[in-house]
Amino acid sequence: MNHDDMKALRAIFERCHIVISFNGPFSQSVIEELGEAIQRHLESQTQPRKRIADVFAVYIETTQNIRHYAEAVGHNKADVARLNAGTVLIAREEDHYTVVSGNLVRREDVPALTARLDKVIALNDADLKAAYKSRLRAPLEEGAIGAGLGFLQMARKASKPLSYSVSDGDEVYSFFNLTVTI
Amino acid sequence: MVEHIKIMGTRSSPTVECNPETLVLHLAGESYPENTFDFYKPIAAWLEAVLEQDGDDRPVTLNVELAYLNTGSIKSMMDMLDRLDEAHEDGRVVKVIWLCDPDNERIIELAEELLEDVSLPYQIITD
Repeated sequence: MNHDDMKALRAIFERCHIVISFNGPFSQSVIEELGEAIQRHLESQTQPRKRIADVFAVYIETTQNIRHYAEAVGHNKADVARLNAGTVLIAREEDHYTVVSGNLVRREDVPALTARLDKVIALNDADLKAAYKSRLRAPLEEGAIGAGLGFLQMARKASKPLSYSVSDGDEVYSFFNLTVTI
Repeated sequence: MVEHIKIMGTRSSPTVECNPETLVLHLAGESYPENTFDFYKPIAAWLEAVLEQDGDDRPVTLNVELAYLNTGSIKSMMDMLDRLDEAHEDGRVVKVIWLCDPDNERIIELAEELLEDVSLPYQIITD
């Protein structure tokens, strides 16, 4: 990394109002440390407790989703390591905060992932609550690591519809980007 | 005899005590452990063992003082509440007490949302 890179990176941070960022492998301790930093930062900005709780909850669901996904579908150590690394940013957008995450997903998983998200995005508040409750009561699939409630939970906490994009990576992976505005 | 479970809390996992003398299951702290379902498995198994114990009809209490639950913990909590509710419908005396920090509106809302679907007696305490 040279000085120009640093300057360019800083310009992006400023332009996007990024207040906290992380890029690299997620571990439980990284998730905890970063989560604490996010809470402290929002407290220092005298944000209402409800909003701090919502940003924190979305951040936890996002990062634990990435870890669960890597654990569930990773074929070998190298593959798990690639899937388990990601970028997470907290940005301030006027009156809102956004939790932005980026991570690799296997290309073959993209259609199911986007179908699930499209379904969640299409729901209004009442339907979101109903879908959440029905999932909460549904029996877990054998060996499930997550409850399958993460996206529904994020959508319920969000003040705007979830927004995502998928771009081509290489022949094995695509890059998945999710933005949740709170 | 059902075992006595004591788990020390961490930054992301709750302090747990499952007491076979008092039949009180107590959870306190934060709940977003790494493998959430693995974390709750022995606790749910303890509850099951208590409810299945032959000739024991003492009241069972779930005492919750959690400040935050990730969705895996919420699911585990719902399953335990449903199991307690089933016992309640079979005539067992059960109760749930959820102690909330009055300033933590989100946890109060969550407690209300989870408990509105069960018929067992409960108290949400916010002071």
